[in-house]
Parts: sequence; structure tokens; C-alpha cells
Amino acid sequence: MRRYDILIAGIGGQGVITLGTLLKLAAIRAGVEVTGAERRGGAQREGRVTSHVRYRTLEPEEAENPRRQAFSGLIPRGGAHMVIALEPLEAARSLPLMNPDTVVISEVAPRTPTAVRLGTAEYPPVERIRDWIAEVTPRVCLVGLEAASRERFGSLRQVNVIALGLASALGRLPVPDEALLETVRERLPGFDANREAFALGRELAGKPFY
Amino acid sequence: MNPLASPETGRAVLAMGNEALARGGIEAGLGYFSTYPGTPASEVGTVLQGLREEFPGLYAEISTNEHVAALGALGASWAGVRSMVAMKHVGMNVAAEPFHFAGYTGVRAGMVVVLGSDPGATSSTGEQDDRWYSLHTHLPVLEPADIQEAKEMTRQAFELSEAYDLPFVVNAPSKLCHNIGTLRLGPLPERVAYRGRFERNPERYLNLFDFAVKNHGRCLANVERLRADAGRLGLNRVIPGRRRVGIVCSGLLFAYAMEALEILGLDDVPVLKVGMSYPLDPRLVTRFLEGLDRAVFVEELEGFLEFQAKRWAYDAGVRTPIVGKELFPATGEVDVDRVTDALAEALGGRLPKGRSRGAEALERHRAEMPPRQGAFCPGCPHRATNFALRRAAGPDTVFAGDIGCYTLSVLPPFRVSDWVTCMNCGAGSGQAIAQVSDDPVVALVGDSTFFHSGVPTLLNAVQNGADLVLLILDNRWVAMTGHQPSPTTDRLVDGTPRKAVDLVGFVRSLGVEWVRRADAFRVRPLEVLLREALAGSGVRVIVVEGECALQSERRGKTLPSGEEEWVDLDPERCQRCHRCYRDLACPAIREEEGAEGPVYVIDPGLCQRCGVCEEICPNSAITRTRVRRGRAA
Repeated sequence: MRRYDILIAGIGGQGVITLGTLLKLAAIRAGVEVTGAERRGGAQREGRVTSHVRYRTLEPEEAENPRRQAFSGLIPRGGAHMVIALEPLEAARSLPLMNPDTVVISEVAPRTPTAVRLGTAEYPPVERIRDWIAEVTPRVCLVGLEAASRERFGSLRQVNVIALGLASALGRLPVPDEALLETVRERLPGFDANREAFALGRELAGKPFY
Repeated sequence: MNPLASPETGRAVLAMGNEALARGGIEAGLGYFSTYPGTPASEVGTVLQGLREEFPGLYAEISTNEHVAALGALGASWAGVRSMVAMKHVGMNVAAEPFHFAGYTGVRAGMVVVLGSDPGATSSTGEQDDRWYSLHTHLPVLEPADIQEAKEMTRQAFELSEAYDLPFVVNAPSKLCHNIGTLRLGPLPERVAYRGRFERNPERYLNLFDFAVKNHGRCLANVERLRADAGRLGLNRVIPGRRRVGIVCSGLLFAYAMEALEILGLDDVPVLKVGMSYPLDPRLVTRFLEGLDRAVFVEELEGFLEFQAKRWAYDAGVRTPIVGKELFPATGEVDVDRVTDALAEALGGRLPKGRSRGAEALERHRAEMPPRQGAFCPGCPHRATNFALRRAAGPDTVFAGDIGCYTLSVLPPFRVSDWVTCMNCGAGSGQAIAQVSDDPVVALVGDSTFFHSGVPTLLNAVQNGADLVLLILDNRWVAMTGHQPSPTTDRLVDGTPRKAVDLVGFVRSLGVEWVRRADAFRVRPLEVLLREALAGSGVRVIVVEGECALQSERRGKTLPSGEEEWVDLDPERCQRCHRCYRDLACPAIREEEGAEGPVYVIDPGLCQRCGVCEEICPNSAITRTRVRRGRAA
């Protein structure tokens, strides 16, 4: 069996669920089996939201094996091939799913939790968060998705598609770019900007991990 | 066209567990659907209501509460129409009365109950395991392990319901309800009985006295018949293996157990997958146990399978040692990692290297990660109401919270809910606290929760002269579960008018003399009104109106007003008193580094222009600008 597991993490309102849906619809389009659980209950603004995206391809001899039929929606500990975090602290909270080969793509701009706002907790410096992740995997890409979207497109609307471009460049997704782009065309408004955003994501990936 | 309506057999579509459950009903020829929305099962209703376009005969309603929804599904079944009712696990408590006689009267057309359970209580006030209900309701329970099985089992449940004359329960935990993945469609039925006819059957439906006793006997006989047939229904399955230690599991836990065995490299462990956990097939279980030196029950919560299996093993004289609850705690969700750890301990087997490195790193640094709690959305009317209430209430005020988005009132900075237990818990217990103590009691209730179960409580408070302030937070939607219409929804998102209950008139008709209507977003007048209410006596009701910001924003996109509006914060005037940033805590107000230290700014992408921050700013640092959009754009 070949698997490819992606965890998407962020906070309510950032589009975590949308990003997961795009990655899954692309799999349906490409004929790859996919599943994954979402944490969305009580997903009002600011709460942690996750979407597990699990791709798998069974080998021919496994097709009738009853031990391989059920397809669970949860990525096991240390099982993520990729983590896409739309907020740095939420990347850190996703540590348990990472292993030494995990590719981590994370937004660099923090979103302040209420406790920090109220002065009862402190937000760690983003460099520290990067160091925590680097203790597990060297393949950390901290990137200003929001800044890039704002700069090129004037709003945050393209953040998710930029992330998709990065994911496609840095990971070994079992779905081809054409399937991703066709899904984006079908599901999101403004395809011209989104095509550019996808390319921008791939460009940002040209810079080394840092 | 919605892919879930597709007639293409074998087509792979992307579906949520809840959608697979709904499609299972469609493939079985579902005619009547009822639900009261509750996470994690809410989307079953959303989908089926949507599918009325493709299947015009399909009836699908959002009921007032679960009790009404359950009785409705039973009525449709009696009229010969296949019916489904969906609710979250705790909804079963509200519907417990109808479900306790539904097995007695039996069904005519197949009836299926979809229960969305919530181990770990990530979106609930409890993690009760509804399967235990079946020991006394006698409703059979099916447990799908993944999205595909969710559809297959639901479809099959309709046939079984008719064959055994019992409503069938399909149990789906949140991790299955909200699992989204590949679903292969089955064929649509050629004919569906959307219309039926009620046929009198007094011996069964007049469930009284001797009839009730006879019905009880027939219900038990039906369960025994099902139990005896269980071996040939294909719901339970043994996966053979050479080892002398085997696993018994059901539902999602089966999927976790199989993946755990794969991770641990243990492909020779025999596994009993239980698809029907009530009634449990005694022959299958005892035979499986007999062949083992030890059995591991992989289960969460209190251990429903283990409890039943031990009973049947005792009767059969089988003494194979069983471990279950020793390995899996009775509280909290059991996920694939907990199953892997427990099986590694019970069976031997090692985790691949490097698998735990991330988890260890989290443990090292967890203390430095600030927690993240949910917050009201920007523009939420509840934030405004809470702000006003926090200011108006004294230190001795007792806050009676309830279930809905406003449950977030328990959190800082507001903390205006002292308990949250179940639907209607606020006014329900609050009125009694008011009867036996002297502190003022303020109860919060949303419009949907009020109509769900709050009405009898308000009437009770009036009839018995309680001293209670009740705030009905009328945001016009069942917002928390995905914006189903509520009885006070007067306009859909696309602008279509809808007949709404006159809430103020209704409250008055119950005998409440002091009723006021308030605008949630005008926090100063609301604060004055709250002070007046708190100073009074008897039952005082304020209907606080303010539409859910997400819904008004959606309507604004479909029906643009032609106006643009901004709210700005002038850092020159701002004294950093924190009233907007900390006391109101709107996520659209952020702190940024300015040239001379930190400043507050309003994020125009998040701001909903509700105007509350402008109203509360004591330094007039926040201003609203409104312009008409030019035609040339």
C-alpha cells in the first residue's frame, strides 16, 4: 500500500476545511482513493481547526485483503508526510504527527489567541517555533503566505491556493497539478488570480527551507 | 447537480460520513426525514433538505426538537413511508420516551435512527454512549467502520427494520460523521413510496395495558429472532489469524485497530469485527473466544461489547481471559494512537523508529504554547450582548448559561455562564435557584434552544412566580450547527421571506408582563435596559435581536446594498484603554507594532462593521464611514 498523509491546521475562519476539500476533490478527479477526518465541531472563530487528508493506493494483491479494506480518517502519530499550517502556533501543535521526513509548510504571521490578548499568556517568538519543529524534521518552510497574497493580490483570498502551489512543489502529492488546478477552477471564483497564486506558491518553494 | 443525487452506480464521489448516511437512505428509498440539528450529525439534515431538489417527493424537516423528530419518523413509518431520524447522541435523551415504545409498536415501513456520538465531547456537554440505551429500548445497533460502510449499513438497515419489525439505529461517532473521503455510489431505487396511507392496527398502536405487555413480548421475540439470524446477515465478520490472542472491536475502532496492526507489523492477529453490536451474536462471540488464549476488546467509553460478551461467554461456559477496559479508559476518545499503544502492550510489537519524535517534542515545549479558545465571530451579536451584560451585572449575579454559540459566554473575557449541562439547563435550573436564594438570576437562551425546550420552563417560571431575568438571544438561526432556519428566521440568505414567530407576542401570551425588545448591537441602551431588568422582580424577558453575522454577511454578498462602509481606529486618539481589544475582544481588532510602540488596528478583512467598538470607545478613536458606491465601478 502506498500512502500520502497531509495534515492541515489553522484556526476557525482561515479556510482549513476548504483547503482540505480542494486536496480531496483533486484526488477524486485523479482517481486516487482519499479520506480524512475534520475537526470542526465548535469551530467558531479562533479555535483550532484541522483537516486530515489521506491518500492511498492499494497494491493489486491487497484488493481483497480484509485487513486493508477499512480506511480510517486519522493520521497516526508520526505519520504525516506533510503538514500545512496556516498559523505558526498551530504548526507547533501539530508536532505529534511529524517524523524526520515530514515536510512542514507554515504561515509565519501569528494570530493572537485570546489568552495572549488578555495578557494571561505569551506568544512564543516564531524562531522558537521553527526550532521546535526542526528538532523533529529539517524540512521546515516558514513562509509569509498572507504577506505574499496581500502584496500580489491585495487581499488574503489567495492564501490557500499559494499554499497548494507550495505543497505541490515541496511534497510528492499523488495527485497531479492539473487535477489540483482543475479543482480550483471548479470550486473557487477568480481562476486567473488563482492560477497565478498557484505559480507563486511554486516560486516561493524555490527558496530553500529555513 | 449534487453528486450525492447521481444515478451512476459505482461512481466515486467525495462525501462526508454524514452525507454517506444520507445517501444510504436515498438508495433505500427514503421518503420522510426529520432531525433536530446537533454536532456531529447536523449535516445529515442539511444534505437531505438539499436533495429535495433532485428528489421532489422526499420530505425532509428540521423539527422543533428530537422528541418531535422521533415521533414524526415513527408516524411516517406507520403510514408506509420509509423514514429516517437523525440527532446527536444527547438528543436521544430528549427522544428517549418515543424510542422506548417504538420497539413495542414496531414499524410498518423501515425506520432508521442515525445517532451522531461524540467520544471526547469535543462539541458536546457529554460523551454518553447511546448504545447502552438499546439494552432497554431493544433497538438494534449497527456500527459502520468508515464512510463506505456508513452508506451500505444505512441502506441495509431499512430492509432489516422491515424484516424484524424494529427501528434500527446506525451509530456514527464524530470522527466518522466528519470524515470526508471517497464514496462509491450504489444504485438508486426504481420506485420510492413517497406517499403512503395509515392503517389502523389497534393491538399494536394502542400501546396500553394488556396490549403494551403483549407488545413488549413481541418486541423481545423480534430481537431474539434477529439475534438468531445474525450469523447470516453479513454484518459481523471474523478475520482469521494464527495467533492465540485475538481482537474484538466495532465501528471506527475496527479501522483504527487494523491500521495499528499494520503499523506494528502484526498481520496474523485474528479479529472479530462486530457490525451489529446489539443484539450481539452469542454463537459468533463465544466461538471466537473459545479458539483463543486471550481476547482484547478494543473499545472506547464504558465497553458495551465487553459487557455483553462476558454475559454470553458465562452462559456458554467459555472462560477465555478478556482484557478491555484495563487497556482502554472509559473516558475520552480512543484514537488510532491509543489503539496502537494498547495493542503494542497487549500483543507485543514495536512502533517504527522516529514515529514518536514529534510527540516527544510537543511534550517538551507544550508549556510554552498558549492555549487557543474559540471566540465569537467578528460582528457577532452575542459578543455585544455579553459585553453589555458584563457591565450591567453585579458581582452577586447568577448567570444561567445554555447551549448554542453563546455557550462561549463561559470563557474570558465575559464569563457570563455559570453552568452548561443540557438544552434548557439555564432557565430550567436558574428559576429554582431564584426561588430558593436572594441573588439575581439572569438566564441566557438562544431562539432555537428556547423553542426546543425552553417554552415550558418559561411558562413554569411565570406560573410559579419566579424572579428571573431571561435574555432570549434571537440571532434568527440555529447558527452553531450550520445555520438551519429557526422559528424566528424571517428572511433566508437569498432574501426569500419566511414566516417567523412573533417572539415578543409569544412571550407575552405566556403571561410575562415585563417584555422588552432590544437591539444587540446598541450596547449602551441594552446595558440601561439590563440594569432596569435586574432592579425589577418577577419574570422579566428581554428579546435581544441581532442576526448572526455570518448569515447577514452571506446575504450582503448575494444582495449588495450599494453602500460601502469602514470602521477605522485612529491611533492618535486611542488611549489604549483596552476596552475594545480586551473587554470586547473582537478578533478584528489586532495589536501591531507601530513606530512608537504597539498600536491597535482594525482589520478591514475581518471587520463586519457592527459598530459596537465605535459605540463603546470612550475616546472617540473609532469612526464609521459610509459611502455610496459609484456606478462606474
